[in-house]
Amino acid sequence: MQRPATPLSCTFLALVALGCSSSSDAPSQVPVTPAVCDAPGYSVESDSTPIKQVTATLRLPSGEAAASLPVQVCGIDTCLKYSANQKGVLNVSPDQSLVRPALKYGDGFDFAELAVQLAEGTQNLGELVALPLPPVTDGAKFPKTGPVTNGNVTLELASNAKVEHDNLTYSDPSELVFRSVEVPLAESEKALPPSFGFELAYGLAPIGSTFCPAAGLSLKNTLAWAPGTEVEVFVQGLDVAENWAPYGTWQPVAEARVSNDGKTIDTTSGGIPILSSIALRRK
Amino acid sequence: MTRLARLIRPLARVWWSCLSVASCFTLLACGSNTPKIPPELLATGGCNSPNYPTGPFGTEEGDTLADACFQGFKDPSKGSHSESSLQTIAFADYYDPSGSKGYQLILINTAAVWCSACRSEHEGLTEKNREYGPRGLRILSTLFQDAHGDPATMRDLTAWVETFDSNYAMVLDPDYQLGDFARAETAPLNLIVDARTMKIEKKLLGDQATVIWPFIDASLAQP
Repeated sequence: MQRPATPLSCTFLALVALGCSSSSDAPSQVPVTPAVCDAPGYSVESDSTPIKQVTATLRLPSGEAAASLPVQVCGIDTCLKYSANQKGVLNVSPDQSLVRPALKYGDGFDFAELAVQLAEGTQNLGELVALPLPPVTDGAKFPKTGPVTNGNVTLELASNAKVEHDNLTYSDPSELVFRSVEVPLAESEKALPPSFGFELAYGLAPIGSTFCPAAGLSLKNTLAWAPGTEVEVFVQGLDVAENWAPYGTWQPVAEARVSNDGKTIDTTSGGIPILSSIALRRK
Repeated sequence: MTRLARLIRPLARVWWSCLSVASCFTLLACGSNTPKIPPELLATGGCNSPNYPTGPFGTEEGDTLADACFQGFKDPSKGSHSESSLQTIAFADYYDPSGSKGYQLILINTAAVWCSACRSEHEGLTEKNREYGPRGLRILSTLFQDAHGDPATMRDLTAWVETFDSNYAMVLDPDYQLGDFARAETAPLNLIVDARTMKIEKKLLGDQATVIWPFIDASLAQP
């Protein structure tokens, strides 16, 4: 997989801007150079895949049914919107061909959104765990610069950061707060295939917010990895435009390291260019 | 399906969901969750275009498209995006049997906020309109649902045209008048219509850019 170069260059620009302002005694009159980021883009032409029927059972982490959970069977060309029934059962028959289809569960409002790539024909995805996000009243407002924290996850916005939210989806400004929920990996193998070797993952909202330069990331070291452990950070592509990550799969966007005191995992290069679900693995 | 049937269907769905809930309090309580569509956004009625082709109408390729009216912006790149700027826009506005308006083809497209494929398609439509508009293409897109699958509102329409810098007709279709062509859970739908006859030349589910644009390009090249 190709690593996007742009976020790194954005980070460099941000560091330059930071360095300039910190080395100068001049007060805040020094204009901050707005960051400019070009999305790397991952769109490739692909053939369509016939999707006949998709079944799954969606439940909450408590074990209860995820009644009426919003679900989409969405290719990069066509989207079909469904919801689980009152028992959390999804049984849909798109019966049409889609380009690179994925099942997306959760909507980024009440639940974290995750994607499962779909294969041809009829498939039963088994049990999927829907992850409730904290209520928006518990979310953290985005500052213009500096850290924003929810749960175990902190984003660090550069001094010249440009944050763009998806105001079309989140039409109520009160929804544009940072929220995170940990993803139980053992119960989310369809969305986070074990072949990636992920050990820690979070669902984030508001989905689709972009950061230029890419936001730094700091996570609580909940798995007690040893100080100095090198880590890779991935985001999942949930947007069919594929500007920042390929749709339906995971894209490395940053490198991180466990702090010397072992308390946090902090990005050392790259960062989070777009809010989505994130996953980490040790190098 | 008739328009009456389309209006009754959501009510029936609410009724059955009320019945299925053991603690269903009152019909009123259930109804309170049903999004209301402001009547001024429905744009139904008054869609009388005496010069529009007479039926029979249909929904498949080769059929004649029935007229429909919407509220929206004819060219959102000009003027404000407030409710007071809404215009009634009909398919009949694009009917050009003699070619006097310079219209050859109409691309009618459906969109919903929840549909990322629709959003991806609209990221390129403004440029396509610049390219093909002078050659006789008119684009009319209908926004029918918001991020939650509820009927699209004025706020959604405004956010949509400002997000995509739309320079083509963008209208609200909160009661999904195009439901005869594709189910509301599937988007986008693209219809390519001959402006001289209002016959449906192509009907495509999905953003099939590699089919749509070569077809439009070839069709506009014909005299």
